[in-house]
Amino acid sequence: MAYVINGLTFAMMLFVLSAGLNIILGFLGVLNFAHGALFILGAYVTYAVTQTLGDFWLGLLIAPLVVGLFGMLIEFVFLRPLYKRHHVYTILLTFGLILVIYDIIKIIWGSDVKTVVTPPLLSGSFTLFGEIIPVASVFIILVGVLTAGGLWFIFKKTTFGKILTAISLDREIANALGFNVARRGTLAFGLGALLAGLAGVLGSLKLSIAAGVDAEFLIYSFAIVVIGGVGSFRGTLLASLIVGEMSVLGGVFLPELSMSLIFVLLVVFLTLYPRGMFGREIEQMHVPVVPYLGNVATAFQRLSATQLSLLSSLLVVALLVVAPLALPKYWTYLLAEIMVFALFAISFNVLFGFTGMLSFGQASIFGAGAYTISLMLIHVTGNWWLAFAASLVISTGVAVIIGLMSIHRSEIYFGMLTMAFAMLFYSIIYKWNSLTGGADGLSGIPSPVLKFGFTEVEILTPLANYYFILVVVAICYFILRTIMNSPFGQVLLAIRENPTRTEFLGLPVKKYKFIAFVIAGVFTGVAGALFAPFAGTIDALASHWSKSGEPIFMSLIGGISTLIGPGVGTLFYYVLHSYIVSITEYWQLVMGSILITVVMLFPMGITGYAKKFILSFKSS
Amino acid sequence: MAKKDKKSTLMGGHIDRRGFFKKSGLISAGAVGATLFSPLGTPFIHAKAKEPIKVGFCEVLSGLFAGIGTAEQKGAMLAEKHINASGGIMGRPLKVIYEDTQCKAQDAARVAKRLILEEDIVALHGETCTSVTKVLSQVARKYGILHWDYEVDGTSAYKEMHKLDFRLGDDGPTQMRGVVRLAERKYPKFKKWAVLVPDYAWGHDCLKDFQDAVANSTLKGGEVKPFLHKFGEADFSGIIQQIADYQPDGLVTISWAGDMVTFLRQQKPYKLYDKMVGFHYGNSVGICKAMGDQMVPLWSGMDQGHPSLPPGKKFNELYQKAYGEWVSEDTAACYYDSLMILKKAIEKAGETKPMAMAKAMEGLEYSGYAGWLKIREMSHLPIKKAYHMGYMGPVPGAPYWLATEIVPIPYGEVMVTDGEARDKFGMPIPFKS
Repeated sequence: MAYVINGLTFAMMLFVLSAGLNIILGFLGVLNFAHGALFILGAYVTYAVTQTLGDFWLGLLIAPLVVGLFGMLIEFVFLRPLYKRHHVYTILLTFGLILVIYDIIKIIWGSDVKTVVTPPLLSGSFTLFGEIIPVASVFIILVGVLTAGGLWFIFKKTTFGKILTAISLDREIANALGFNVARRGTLAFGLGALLAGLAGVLGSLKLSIAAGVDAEFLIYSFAIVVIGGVGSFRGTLLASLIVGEMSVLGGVFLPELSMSLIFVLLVVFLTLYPRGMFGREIEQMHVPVVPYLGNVATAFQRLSATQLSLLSSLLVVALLVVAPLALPKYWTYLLAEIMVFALFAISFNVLFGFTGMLSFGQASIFGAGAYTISLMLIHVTGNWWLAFAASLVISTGVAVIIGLMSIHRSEIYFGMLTMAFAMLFYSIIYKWNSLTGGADGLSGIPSPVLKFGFTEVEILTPLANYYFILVVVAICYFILRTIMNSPFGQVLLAIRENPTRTEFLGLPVKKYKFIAFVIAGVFTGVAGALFAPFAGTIDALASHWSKSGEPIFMSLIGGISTLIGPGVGTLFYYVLHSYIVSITEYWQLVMGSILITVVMLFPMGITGYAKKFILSFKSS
Repeated sequence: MAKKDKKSTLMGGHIDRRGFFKKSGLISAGAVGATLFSPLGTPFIHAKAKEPIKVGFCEVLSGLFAGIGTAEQKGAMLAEKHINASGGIMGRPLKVIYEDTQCKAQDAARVAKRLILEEDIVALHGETCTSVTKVLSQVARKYGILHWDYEVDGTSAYKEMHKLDFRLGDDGPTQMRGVVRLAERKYPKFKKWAVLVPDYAWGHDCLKDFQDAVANSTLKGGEVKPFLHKFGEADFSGIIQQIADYQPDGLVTISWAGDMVTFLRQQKPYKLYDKMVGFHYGNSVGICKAMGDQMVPLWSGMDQGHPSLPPGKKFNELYQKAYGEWVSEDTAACYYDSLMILKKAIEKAGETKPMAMAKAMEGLEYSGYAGWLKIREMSHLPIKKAYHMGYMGPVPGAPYWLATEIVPIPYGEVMVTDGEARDKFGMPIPFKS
């Protein structure tokens, strides 16, 4: 029974947090990755209030309000302008907010672990049927129940709640009826953030307080919202109970599998019951990621689009060939790493920029390629070709599995399902210590030794590594370029612009999407296979779902409307990141701010704006 | 400028992009210019000064372990300041370049290479995370740079050590033996042990070290039961219940501060520490500071830089003068000494070539704020006078709990011997080139 009570306590904390996420996702359609950061912010504000005023109960009152107001500010200033755009922009913006919030916390409260002093009223425990029940646990359960009751009252009995429900069902009609949709959206986000802050107060009674502690809570609350169903608090409550109990009981009876079980459940629901237990479908408008800019070749009268594209690609390769002659050693090394991640980003963009599919699962394919080649080279064979072939087979296999199960979902559901797969893959990598090294990963991965008949070429020096990577990445790029310039690539573009219309033209959209996913997976696997021997190390974090955010960011910076755009974005991101990390310890604040600025003000990316400039220059 | 369309937009709004861009562009240009030009400026100002000796310090300055890394960085910065105030090293100023590894092996590899290839450092220091220490060691070996570290590492970090690699911290086996030696002295009748194990390499290594230590002690035959928890565990209730049901004599914990604090808070209603004796591996200052008056009495391994010990007390006074607060990690003093040890090695070598510095480090003795140590010639691990276990309790005048009882254990009883180092860690003699 003690386990059940403990599971219930954890479940209630998760419910309060997840209810907030559900409001934001259900009523605004925003997948708020900063929700965990708002949770830990609530805990920190509670700490600040109890430290300065010596009263936890004031913290209980103040912290949710502060976080709620902060949430409203975020929505009004940063999110609202992005609603008309593709949902990737709001997602990336919330990624940027995480970084900014973490460093704001660091600046105000420092990096040390903190705790909140438990008030005397909640410090004790009592015995029930021979089991010890902490008073704080009862309090958390009570707050969870009151929250559930409060939400029921707001959304069933108040005008505000009913209007919000109406807006979530059909925004256009609600707008046409004269409701101030924008203002109510801000209030809804504020309510969601307030609940995150309240969850933070509850968390402060049980947890240590440090930025990063929220990561697990974000994943759990995301799973709960999906399993319970978007827009349903009844579903959120039930799902919280399931996840909470699974987590506690799983940790006791099945510690090896407890982490993975929840993600398996998530995958099952997203694949078979995307609406969840009691939810509804999220209203999704198909919005092109970026507007069509036109054919830049029209600005160059003597060249066709293909010729111009080929020329520019060859120019880039030529520059990369001669770059080591001009660059210092470190930049040669960095450029090699940039090329690997450029391939990662370019292959991601086959899905996103060319097909309109936002996948958060690419890191798992990258990881599959990286781990396979590492294990082969360490334990099985020194033959790089064999190891590389094995890594291609495995990473392609992972792409096929994820693709087969995800393709049937569209837009935000596709993104969530690929993310769920990434979480599942990460949990397997993390727990399978004996094979993968768990959290510490593998090190001492040997450099490639290429066997050509009786000859061997060892890729040992940084320069050799550089040119080896350049050759492989260049070949991959030209293969991708050929594919994207073919009729197949044109169909993908059509799907990106309007999948329904493409379907009506008689083209099997799902089949094309699946093939695109596998193609992207193949080259993502190549990137992983290149990276691990290059770095000499690989760990579980390379497969974490958040790692999938990097190619998204790099693609947006560089521009998703061209194949080379993500490559340019990768270069920009790495140079900037390398520089900023070396000059300030508050690099998260700087990088997060840059990400937010790019997302809000420069959605077309570097190559997109270059294209636009060339076209407008020529036309003037 | 596009007009705002308040009526027809669907939760929409409009940003005046041109105006925003213009203003932010000017501000950014100014900031970038100041940043870019300031490093350009300094060489011109200092062109005539002696070329500094550059050392790279890789630390975890963001993420969950940032509290540890930041405290250690502060210790190192203090040492850098004092070294330069006293004339530098061989008349040359010391410049320490701090880089954030984020406790990620891939990022650590990149920043280490930047330090070596771009900053031209003579030595590389780091780190808190075992996986990162391994990577830094490998990068240092690849480029022929001295690598040394004064943090705690699991045994897996010692498997790839090389002739330019030195580890000065009390490693996992030492700490686990410290617990067992203390128990032999104070709790010889203990038969049942519960070990709270974080589910990553550090935890697994220490569990095995503890099991080996018990098997090779007068406590031999005692039962050791592990209780695994995931890193960043949010709910220990199930594990707490299991430990309570198991009713061990002793509870050994080897989790990092954040997880340990969560565990200590959640176990309170169950009063685990009233029913069993607690032993923590080390790095307890951060835990005591976070818990404040909510801390529970337990034994903890103490680095000699711990403010409960005389050298650590002196360092704490120095730290307070510099930063206005008590040390937040016992390893802050270790990092101070770490730089001082490098200084001594360079002065002994008379130069900054890696092999010369390594040779100078072998057999080097140093007495500082983290106590006395001697660096062993074969294994590059330390010999110290004693390993200290302290019983944490409230001390008048201190902002957090300190050791109210200290048991010094002769280092010979806990240290990893050279012969053992070869067998246990697989380091051949001579080192791998």
